[in-house]
Amino acid sequence: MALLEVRDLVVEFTLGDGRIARVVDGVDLDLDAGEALGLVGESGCGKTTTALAIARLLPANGRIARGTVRLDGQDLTALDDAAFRDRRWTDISVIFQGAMNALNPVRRVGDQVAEPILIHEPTTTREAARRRVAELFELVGISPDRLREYPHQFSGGMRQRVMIAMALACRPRLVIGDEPTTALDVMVQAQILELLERLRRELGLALILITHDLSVVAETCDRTLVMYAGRLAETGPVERLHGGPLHPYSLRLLRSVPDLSGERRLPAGIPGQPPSPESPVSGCRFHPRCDRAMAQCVTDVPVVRSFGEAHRVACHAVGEEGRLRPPGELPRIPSALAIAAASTSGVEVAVDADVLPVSADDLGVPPGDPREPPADRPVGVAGPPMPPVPPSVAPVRTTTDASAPTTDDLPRVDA
Amino acid sequence: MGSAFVLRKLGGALLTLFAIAVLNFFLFRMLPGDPVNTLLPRTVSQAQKNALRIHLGLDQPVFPGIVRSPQGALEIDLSTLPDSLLQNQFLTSMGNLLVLDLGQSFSERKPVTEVIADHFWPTVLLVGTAEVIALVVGVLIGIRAGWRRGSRFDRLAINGSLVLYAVPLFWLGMLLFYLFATSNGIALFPGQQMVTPGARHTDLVAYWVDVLRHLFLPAATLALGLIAGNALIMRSSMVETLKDDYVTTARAKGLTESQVVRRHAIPNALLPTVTVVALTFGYVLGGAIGVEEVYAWPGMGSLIIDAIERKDFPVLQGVFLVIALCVVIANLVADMMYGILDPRVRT
Amino acid sequence: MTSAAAAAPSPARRHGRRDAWTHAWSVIRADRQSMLGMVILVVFAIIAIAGPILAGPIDRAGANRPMLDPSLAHLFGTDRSGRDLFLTNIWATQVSLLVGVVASILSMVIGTAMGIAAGYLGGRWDAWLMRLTDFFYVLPTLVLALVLAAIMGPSLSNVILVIAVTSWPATARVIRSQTLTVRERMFVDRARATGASSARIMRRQVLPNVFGLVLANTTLTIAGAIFLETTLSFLGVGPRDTYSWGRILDESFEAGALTLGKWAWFVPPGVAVVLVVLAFTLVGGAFDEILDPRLRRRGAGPGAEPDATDPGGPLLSIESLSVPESLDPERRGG
Repeated sequence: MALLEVRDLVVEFTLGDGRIARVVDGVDLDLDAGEALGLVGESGCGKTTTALAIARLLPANGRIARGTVRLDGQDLTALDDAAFRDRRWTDISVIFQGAMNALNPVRRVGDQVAEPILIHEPTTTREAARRRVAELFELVGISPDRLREYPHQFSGGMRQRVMIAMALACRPRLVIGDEPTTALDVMVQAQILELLERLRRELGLALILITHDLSVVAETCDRTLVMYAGRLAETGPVERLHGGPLHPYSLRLLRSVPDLSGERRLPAGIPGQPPSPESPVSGCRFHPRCDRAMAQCVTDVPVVRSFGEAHRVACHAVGEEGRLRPPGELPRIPSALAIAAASTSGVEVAVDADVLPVSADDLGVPPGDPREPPADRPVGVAGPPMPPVPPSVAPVRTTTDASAPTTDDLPRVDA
Repeated sequence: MGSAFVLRKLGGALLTLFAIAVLNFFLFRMLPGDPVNTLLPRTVSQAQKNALRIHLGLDQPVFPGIVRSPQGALEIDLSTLPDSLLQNQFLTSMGNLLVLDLGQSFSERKPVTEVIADHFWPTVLLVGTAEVIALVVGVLIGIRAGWRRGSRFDRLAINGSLVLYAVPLFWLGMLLFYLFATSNGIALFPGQQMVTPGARHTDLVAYWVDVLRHLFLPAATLALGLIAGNALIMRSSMVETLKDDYVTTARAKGLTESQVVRRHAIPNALLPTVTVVALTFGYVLGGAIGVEEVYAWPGMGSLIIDAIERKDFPVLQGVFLVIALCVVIANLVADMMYGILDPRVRT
Repeated sequence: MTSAAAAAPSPARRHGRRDAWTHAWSVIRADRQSMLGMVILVVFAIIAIAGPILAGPIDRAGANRPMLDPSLAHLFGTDRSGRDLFLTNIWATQVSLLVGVVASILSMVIGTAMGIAAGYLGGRWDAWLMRLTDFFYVLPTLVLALVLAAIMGPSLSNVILVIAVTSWPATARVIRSQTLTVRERMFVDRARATGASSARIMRRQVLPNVFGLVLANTTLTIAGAIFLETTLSFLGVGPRDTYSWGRILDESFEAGALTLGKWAWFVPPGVAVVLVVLAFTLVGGAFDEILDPRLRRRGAGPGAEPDATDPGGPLLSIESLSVPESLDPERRGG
């Protein structure tokens, strides 16, 4: 049985004006003991929120609206606060982003690392706790002489080591690293990742590593999970996903990693930005930025389908044979439709002119009688009359259908 | 705390003190007419006036190369150079300050330093009591309001503080006086002065009981006014601190909510509060003036008002210097406290 | 690559002056507290402007019968010389508001000039002007004002001058930091490149950009000025040529209204001060929100983030709360 099983996780935030924003929308996630999973996506894709939801650290205006988080088969979402508090740090610990702010500036680092030990193991004497902290410091490569120093006396990389020592203080089985190397320079990043990797193997930790850097995942993790706009885009073993990504978003993410070994070229980047959870996009949320977007992508939420060993993807453009069809093979929609659809949902769209030339040939949907022309038609888009936006373009609430064939290979646990 | 830090702060404080002395020099030379006439009662003889004139160096140029004309206007007169480089009113007055010679009060006929000393401790007692109460109560209210942000307690604390902040302290004093020291309300406390006039206290305990009974209302007035400000500062400091990442870390570690607040949020939230409380010390002293006036508390506030009414300018000048000195020291103490409380400054 | 819909620049930047006013009004209207403040201010403004005209001069009012209790003929009773206290309070409203507004405008002019000059000219100018500002910031405002007023003698214009001269440092500090950010913006450099003088750039480019902040600060400064005038008058150095709330309070106290139980003598002017000062503070809080969206509350209840103003003392802005700011010796004054 998996150590961690997340099923159909939905996280919602109440905004200042009372609206509800769904930041994580039906994510499934599995993690075996000792396994490392890379959680990848651009900022705002819900990866940190997913992790915070697992650790029950959501801010006051956020809540788990649906779904289960099981650790060793026990549903953590069902525990009351006091019961969950006992599991914190002993089962799940977190290495936060930017250790400067994650460490209390006015308390000695040794005391901060010892604090969870003293809390969770009340029988431990201060002296024993201090000895254990000293061991932890040696483990992460800090001289135990520095126990009595304050966070500001450490360099960025050293602070992150303190943070790691703290995360290991109660011998947790699952460690969540929330972009643990983001603020560090490249050399220090490599050292910290190496340290994490070594500790994980030595201590048999399960690790969820949140990052926007796929190369970090490739070096450190066993599996990758790509999220986009709060939903799962693709997940699979690192070799498979990195060798042959199926989701166009994964493909673009991989292309935006500068390839140091291969020929020199500029990272491609992905034009546009992820939609804001306050104004979700219809259908596949990636379609406004996707070079393979079809009419179906605007209207239908892609179901998650499995292709071989734990490789799952949610994309209409992936054929039954498990291959991402190139743009040429697909019935294309005009960028105009994408823009119209996106503008009804209030999302900024950037049209890649090279990929989506606006021409009559592109019309995947034949221009018909415009029953409801989009009210705010964007200016400057030349070309034939705009095709009608299908009525179903209005934001549709869909989740992975329980009966969908995609989840057959997973033990389905209903809440 | 690094000695460089202490030295820098001390140097800054000394510089401010010097600037205050300079300002003081010019302020009281803005008085129209012959300073000797304003500094002495009208009844004194010409000989006494001349003696004071020489003591204050008023026969000398105001500044090197600058003299006061018989009409009272300042004029440039280079003929006094180079003698006026060393012999001028400015240097003389600074010299007098250095030996703590603040002149003679003409309403009480003794040195200004003695007059101030008589009124110093009552103010310390009043302001000290009020500040301690206001700090403890204000900080506690602020902690709770900031922690339970948006709760009924928070709203009550904010709105109450905002209203209290708009109340002039002397008027609050008048209301409390009316309600608790006169027969129009419930006369629970003696109204004015620091001790019952004419009372003969058999022992020290009886004396202090009497003082405390007199202290209650003025201290409560001043404290009420200060609680509002302290609570607002502590509250917003708490709110900011609770957003900090290390608070999330503490929660993630499995601390209970009250452990998170006590061990991580409060120590950090107190830091800016300490500074602001010390920075507002001048405001506290200002507020004490009105309160002392209402309760006829024999402190420096009453002294200022008396000095203004009697045009006793040497005393006014002296009290101004002493209060400014107190404020500078309070700022210095705040800096040092910060250094002690915050390891980022200390190490 | 073409962006069909480029990221919109932040709305505040693009707002024209009129949009800014509309936005300000909408924030005030949406906030119950600042709306309450506005209503109170409007009522007092009407009393201050129309009251004396309708009521006539104080001297002829009253029955020339001293120390009367409140009655229908004399709503607040009469004072020692038989003045009708209701009429006196109406006149005092005009005087107190006038002193507050005029002194604040003067103080804003000094503070804004200091702040813009320090922030824009930078370097040695900045260092010295800020040292001066910090020096006055450290001095206890009320004590300095008392001494100044005692030296200059009691009159309406002197009191206004004293308040203006003692209450500008807080404004100077706020305006300086705003000027620093404005200066960083491109168009100032462009204007300088075309050969405009520093004075002209400060007037034509910097001032319009800090003006919103100046206005917001004015509401808080007026509150402080009214507070200060009341206290100065109560302590006997206020204007002797006319009646303000503070002077009524002073006379009631001197006449023993507290022991005599003449509550109608000292309660109404005090309540008036509290209401007006509170109203300016509430409206000022809304201005803060308009200018600084970071302060916008996030659905955590109706409690506003009040910016504690220190009447007659330093402005306890959020600025002075942040740890690095207060660690900055330049800001703290020696």
